[in-house]
Parts: sequence; structure tokens; C-alpha cells
Amino acid sequence: MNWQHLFLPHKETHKKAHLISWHGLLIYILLFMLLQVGFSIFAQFKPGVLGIDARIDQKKVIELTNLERQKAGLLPVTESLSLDTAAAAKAANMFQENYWAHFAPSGKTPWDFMQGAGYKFSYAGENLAKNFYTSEDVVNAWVASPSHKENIINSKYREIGIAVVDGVLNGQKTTLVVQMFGTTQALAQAPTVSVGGQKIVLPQNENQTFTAEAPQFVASANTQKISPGVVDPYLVYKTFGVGVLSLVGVLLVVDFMVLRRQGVYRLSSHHFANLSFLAAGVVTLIGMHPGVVL
Amino acid sequence: METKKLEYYIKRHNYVGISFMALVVTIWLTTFRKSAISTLQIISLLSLCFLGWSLIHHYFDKSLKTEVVIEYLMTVGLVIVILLSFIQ
Repeated sequence: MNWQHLFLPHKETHKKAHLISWHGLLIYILLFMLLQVGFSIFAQFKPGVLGIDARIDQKKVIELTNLERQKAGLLPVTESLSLDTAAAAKAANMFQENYWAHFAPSGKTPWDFMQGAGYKFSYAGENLAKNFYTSEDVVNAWVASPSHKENIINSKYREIGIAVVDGVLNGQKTTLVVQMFGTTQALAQAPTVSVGGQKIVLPQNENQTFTAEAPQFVASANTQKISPGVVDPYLVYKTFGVGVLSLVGVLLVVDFMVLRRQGVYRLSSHHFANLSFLAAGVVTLIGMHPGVVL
Repeated sequence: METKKLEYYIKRHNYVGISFMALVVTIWLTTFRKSAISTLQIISLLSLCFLGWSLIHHYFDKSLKTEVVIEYLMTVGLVIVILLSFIQ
């Protein structure tokens, strides 16, 4: 095989270069799938090696949250140590029971942690985030989600608690951000909680007769988290993905120019359509981040 | 194929391609990072447009062959597989 055929269209047959033929594309797909499977197997055997090196600051998250409240014309929320403790306990429990949800597999609820930390509330809410790199990313993602934004700009909340905790979730080093809101003022109505924007009204006596043991805390909640030596799989996906899509794009441009110079018209090649679709893929990939909110 | 007809085909081919490009840019700009629409939905929409458009275009161009269809499917598959790695 002539190496030129890898990059340039065939001189006689005008067939596409091998690297942009359907065989080539299939190989890229298989390589990418292999990479994904490889990472997930590796994460099971060597937990904590893969993950995200996040730089999220608890104080900054509170500051940005209050900025959003200010924009909405609301009073800022003040930090509550009890809510900080409850948020840290929630995060620790998520790592301990290995789950990503508002409700633990063991049945623990967000308000269990609040009450366990001695926080008696009339209104309470919880927002969760994981796999974000910065404090700004976290708050922006919450604000972009209508249900989470509802918690942030809820006028009923007076206090806030934040925990930024590192741990291993599903084999990957993960930084969890737990944001808890609450109001301790005694109101006539039954206590209401909002988890990720979903409202739940608790029975009147549940908040008052809670006797569960306070959870044990295994992580501190208010320090900047920087763990060196972690391999970020999302950065690898992004680099490899952008590289492959760009290579295909460049070879398509070369194909277009060579055919044009040779005065050849190939019915099966639609360079503009392919290029625009690939460009949309590359731009989307560059703009994507692995962070998720709940 | 006579030169005039060939030139007409090439021009039409390019115009149709550029109009598709405009469609992709419009869809992308109006949907990306909008809270109600997920990235997966955007890529699915773009992929459907890309496949639907190529199917119609090549059908009328009388160039709809299995290899052509596979090539388009592979392009879509590649973009989807790469982007899916970010969506958990």
C-alpha cells in the first residue's frame, strides 16, 4: 500500500484517502470505544487514579450563590455551621455508599443529615454537583438548570451550608459539592424540603421527632481541593476526540482541494456537509465539561 | 459528462452543501448551552438532519449507494461515540 493513499485521494480511481474512508472511520470508532472500556476497567482495578483535579472553593461557591440572589433582588444567605456539617456528612455518605442521588440506597434522606447535624428547619433544599473544575462552573451549572436555580433564588431560605469533598465514586476520584439551604424560623405549616428543585412536604412530626444518630464525618468540608497525579479521563477523551475529528476534517479539505485541482467531480463526497457536521462536533466537544448537577 | 453540465452539477453540489452548513450553524447556535436542551439532544438533532439531508440529496443525485450510506453513518457514529464519553 502506498503511504500517500492514507492521506490523499487515489490518483487513478479518485477514491478517498484511506484515513477518511468508512474503514478508517470505523477504526477510529473502535479505538475510541476501546479507550472508554479500558478506562472503566482501569477505574475498577485502580480506584482513585482516574478523576478530575478540581479547584473548588467553599467560600467562593457561597459568594457566587449570593451574587445570583442579589441579581434576583433577594437577601443573601448566611453560612450555617450546622448546614456545613450536614452537607459534609451527606458527601461522606455518598462516597461511603457509592451513590449519586439525593436519597441514599440505605434510605437516608437529605433532611436526615440536616436533622442529624442538629438543624431544625421549616424550609430546606439541596443541590448537588460533581466533576466540575471550578467554583464558577458549579454555580453556573446550577443557575442554568431551572430547578436548581429555583433553590438558589428561593426567598424562603435564610441560611446555606456547603461541602466540597474529595473521594472515590465508581472508581474515579470525584469532587462532590453539596449545597444545602435552610430556614430555621418556626412557621405554622409543615416543613418543606426541595431536593434539586423537587418539592417534598414532610409530615409535621417527622421534623420534630427525629432521633437518628448523627452521621460520622470522614471529610473536612471547607478546604481547597488539589490532588496532584490524577489522570483526567475527560481531558484524554477531549484531546483524542478533537484530534481525530480535526484530522478527518483536514483530510476532507485536502481531498476537496486535490479533486478540484484535478477537475474531478465525485458524487459521493459532500465536503461542505461533512465538514460542517464535524465542525459542530468539534466545537461542541470543546465546549463540553464532565460536570453534572442533581 | 459534458463540461457545462459537470460545472452545473459541481455548483449545485456546493450550494446545497453550503445551505446545509448554514442549517448546522443555525441549529448549533440556537441550541448549545440552552438549559432546556441537552447536548445529546443537539447532537441527535444534527445527526438526523445530516443523515436525512444526505439521503435525500444523494437519492436525487442518483448516487445513493451502500458505501455512501455507510460513510455517512460512520461519520455520525464517530461524532456520537466521542461526545457520549462526556455524557454520564
